[in-house]
Amino acid sequence: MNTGNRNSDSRDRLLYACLAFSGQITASVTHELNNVLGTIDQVAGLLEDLAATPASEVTVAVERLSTLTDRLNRQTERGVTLTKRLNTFAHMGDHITVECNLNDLLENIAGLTQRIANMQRVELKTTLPNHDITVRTNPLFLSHLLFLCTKKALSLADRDVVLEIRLSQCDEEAEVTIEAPCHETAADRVQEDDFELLRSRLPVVITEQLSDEGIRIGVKLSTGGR
Amino acid sequence: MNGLRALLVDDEEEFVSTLVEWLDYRGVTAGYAIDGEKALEMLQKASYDVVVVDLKLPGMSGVELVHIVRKAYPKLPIIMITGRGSGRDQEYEKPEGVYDFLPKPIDISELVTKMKEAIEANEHRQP
Repeated sequence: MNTGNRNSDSRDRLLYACLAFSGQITASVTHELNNVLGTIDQVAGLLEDLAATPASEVTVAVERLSTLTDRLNRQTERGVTLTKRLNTFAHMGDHITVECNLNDLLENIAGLTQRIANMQRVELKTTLPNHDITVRTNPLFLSHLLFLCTKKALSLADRDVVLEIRLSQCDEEAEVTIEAPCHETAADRVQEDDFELLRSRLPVVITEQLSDEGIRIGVKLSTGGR
Repeated sequence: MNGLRALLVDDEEEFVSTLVEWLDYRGVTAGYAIDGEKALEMLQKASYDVVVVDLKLPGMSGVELVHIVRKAYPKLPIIMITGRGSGRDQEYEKPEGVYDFLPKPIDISELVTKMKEAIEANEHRQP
């Protein structure tokens, strides 16, 4: 295969990987939004039944109504947060390279991945520094890479544990560390092709440690003195 | 078929607890569990006429739970619910013994009807 064909093949694979990533995130978030709407629908239906019952047949306690309206408020708030996160994610492909706030990017991708972690009975915890860290990068590729790192850690993590995603800065380097307790030593189940493809497109250094205490993945990026 | 007792299994606690409350209002006594392990505990402690299981559960999946329930309680009718785009989920075949798939959001009247149908269909299957 000549160089031109190889480049084109690599571009196609990267494009497909990014589309698949967007699909996974969208499927997960819309599933969660459907649950939000489902809950709102149940509460509305119950309120409708209560309102349709003659006052002589049922007495609705104010506390019961208050519990139901609290539930509506919580679910509406959750729906708004999910929509904002998905909208931010959808705009990541607007520009190939931008000045990117890593704090915001990490918080968003962790929020979008939370449900996937919950399905494996793992809680995601994001620890951010009290100052913003910015890098010049492709936000979609970086989000995808961090998502794959998180999935890799999730695939090895024990159940009912906390997976911590931590952002820190040392001199001109920003580091994202993803850590979780695990006892599994089996080979990871993340698509290595996508992982390597993204690694080759981003100026990052990735380290992986699997020990008795757990899995630790580090992703270092240059902040270029910012 | 008065006094219907149902067990609902769904990890969305506010969704499932509201559904339980609403079913209660419609004359169905329901309990709920937010994962498969808790559902199995509840099935050991009380008897139910029908079980409603979400396809996606944390840890043990809905399909895995259905297989266990089918083995341990072969006479218990099961309905599955799914939050996916299609009510008749195309990725999963309906596991043996599942009466029907219902999409979220749930139509309460349809759910009660399906519960009754599932119980009746199961009774007719008995020798």
